[in-house]
Amino acid sequence: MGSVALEGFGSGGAGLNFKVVGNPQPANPKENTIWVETDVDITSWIFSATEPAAAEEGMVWIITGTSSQIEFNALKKNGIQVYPLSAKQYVGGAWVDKTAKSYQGGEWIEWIPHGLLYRYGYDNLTITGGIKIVEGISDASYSPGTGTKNSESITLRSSASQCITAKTQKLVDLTEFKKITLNVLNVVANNSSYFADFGVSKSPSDATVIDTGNVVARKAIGTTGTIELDVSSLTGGYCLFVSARSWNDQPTSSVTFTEWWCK
Amino acid sequence: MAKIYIDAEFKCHTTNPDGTFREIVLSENARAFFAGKCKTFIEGYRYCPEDESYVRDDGEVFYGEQITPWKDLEELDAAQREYEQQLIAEYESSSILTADLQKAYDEGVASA
Repeated sequence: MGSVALEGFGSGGAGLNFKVVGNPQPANPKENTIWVETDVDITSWIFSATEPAAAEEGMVWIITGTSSQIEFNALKKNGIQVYPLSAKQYVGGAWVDKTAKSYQGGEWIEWIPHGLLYRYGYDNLTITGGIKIVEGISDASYSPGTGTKNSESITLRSSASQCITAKTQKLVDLTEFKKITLNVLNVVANNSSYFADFGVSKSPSDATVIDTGNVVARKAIGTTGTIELDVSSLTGGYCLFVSARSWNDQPTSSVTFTEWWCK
Repeated sequence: MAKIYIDAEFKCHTTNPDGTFREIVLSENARAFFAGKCKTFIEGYRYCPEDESYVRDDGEVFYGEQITPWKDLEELDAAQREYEQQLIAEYESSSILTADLQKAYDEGVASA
């Protein structure tokens, strides 16, 4: 079934069960008020899974999917169930990511950014199925290193002849994403005999190891900060991973990351 | 392992007919990644060495070391599977030939 875009303008309308508003945060919001955190006037809005064909300055594009933690019925009568994922606004000739919240059940609910895998302790189970720490490779000469889920980060550490990996337990569909980003807080690696990397694997979602033979794309982690892997040619579902490994008689490799996204 | 060259877009090549590609020294991890891969598979990949970067068509910059396909992976996997089937067939054919030679030798020895 094709997707039907909902289009409109203004902050409400007869028959609609929601509003789309910008800053400031509404003081007395009604149920299903969508507050897009923007100071740029919202001239119109559109709910669509795909980029609008015709954009105009100030338009808010609410990207929709097939499930959402803030789904709602868009109409007061009958029903069109809408599954918002994220919001963008057309500003200065380009689509700009915007954060948004929905008022539901008497509280503001922050939208989970689409493509977010992990952020400061939050594991986006919808897309990851839960990030699991597993031994990295199926090689008898290696033993598991240590993986720790800290309160706001994940740390992987491998001493000599060890390997450890954090992986998604669901296959992540990369079709709509062009890159994977990792925000690295700390890394100890030489990209040779003791290294850390992140990437994409053909391993099944329930794999208890990430076999290096199944890796289809990888990026070495050599610096702190935001690092990115180009996945623009990959389509379909893959297991995503972050890994630390150290060869025999080599120093410990380690990586600590705070955010992990598909974008 | 055969040499790998990269072009200006960091796409891999297994030959350098015009001498315009850059021969690169792969890292240990990159060598392990490409080991056993056929020509078609290798040439469907981009390799960006450490301390270098490339600019994707949409202007996004990506830094090395990075190994990522630029061609459709299903196509590359199909080529790799065909290559491996070919290797198996050659091995089996070679095994038959070796067995034939061995048999002929044994018969020769026995008739002496």
